[in-house]
Amino acid sequence: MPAAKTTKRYRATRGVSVRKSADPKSPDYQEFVEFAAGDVLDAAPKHTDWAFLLETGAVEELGEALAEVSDGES
Amino acid sequence: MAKASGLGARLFVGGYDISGDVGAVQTIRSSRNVDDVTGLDKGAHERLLLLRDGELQFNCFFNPTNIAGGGATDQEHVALKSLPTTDRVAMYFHSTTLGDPVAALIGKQVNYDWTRGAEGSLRGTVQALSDGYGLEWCQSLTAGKRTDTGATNGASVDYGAVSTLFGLSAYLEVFSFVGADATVKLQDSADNITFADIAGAAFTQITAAPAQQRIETGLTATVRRYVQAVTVTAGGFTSLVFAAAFNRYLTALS
Repeated sequence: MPAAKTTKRYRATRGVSVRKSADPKSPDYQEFVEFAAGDVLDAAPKHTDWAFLLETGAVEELGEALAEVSDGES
Repeated sequence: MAKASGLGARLFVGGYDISGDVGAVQTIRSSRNVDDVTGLDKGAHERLLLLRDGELQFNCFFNPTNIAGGGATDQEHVALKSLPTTDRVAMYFHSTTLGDPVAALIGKQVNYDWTRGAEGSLRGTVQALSDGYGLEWCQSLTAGKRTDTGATNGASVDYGAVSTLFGLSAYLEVFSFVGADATVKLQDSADNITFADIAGAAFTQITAAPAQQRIETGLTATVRRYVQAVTVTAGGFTSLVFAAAFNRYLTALS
C-alpha cells in the first residue's frame, strides 16, 4: 500500500530572506532566497528556521500538502 | 574595542556627503534636562530627568560645487545654504566599518554662518538642533556609504547572543538614485541564516535623491541578534547610494 508523505507549507506575511547555504565557507552563504509578502515558501532551503518565522509572524501555515508518494516507505 | 581617535569619520547631512568640506565637529551633544526637586529635608540634590535634547555643530570650508543633476557630488554650499524649514537628518559616522558607532539626529539646521579672515580664509559654522527626539548613538548598517545596483541583502550587524525587547529607531540618507524605485528595510535574525522584516522598520520608498528619513518601530518590538539592511524594488533600479544606521533600544523609553 503506497504511503503518502506530506509537508507543511507556509506563506510569507512580510519579507523573508534565507541564505542559500548555512555554511559560511560556501559561496552560496552570501546569496539569499527572497520571499515577499504573499509568497508561498515552497522553495525555502532545508535549513530555514521555521520556528523563528512562525514566532515573529513572518509566515503563516497553509496546512499540509502532498509531497510525494512512495511504495510503502514511511 | 580599544580606544580610538576621530580619524576616518564621515559627516552626512540631508542626503549629502559633506565629509570633505568639514574640518572639525565641535559638538555632538546628547543630553537631558533635569529638574532639581530637592526637598528641605535632604542633604544632597534630588533630580528628575526631563526632556531629551541633541545637537550637532561643525565647521566647514566653502565649497559651492553644484553639478547639474547633482546630489551625490554636490558639496556643502548646495547642501547647507538653504536653511530648510523642514527637518534634516545629520549623521556622524565614527568610521566606515559596518557596525561602528554613528551619532544621528533629526532636527533643524539653525544657522549657516561664515567668517572671512583677514588672511583670506573662509570658514563656516553650522549647527543642527534635534526636533522631537534627542541625538541618538546608533550602529552603522552600512560601511559608510553603500552602493547597490539592484535588490541587495547587506551584511549583518551582530549584537551578541540576546534579543532586545524595546524596538529600534533607524536613520537613512540617500545620496544618489537611478531607477524607478527602491525601498530600504531592516531585517533581523536569530541565527544569521533566516531573516524576516522587522515590523515598522521599512523606510519610505525612494524615487529620487537626495532623501533622508528617521523611522521608529513599536516600542515593544523584539529585535533579534542579527540585523541587516536590505534593498528591494518593484520597478527596478540600477544605482542606489545610501547610508543607514539604527539604534537598538535597550530599555523602555522614558
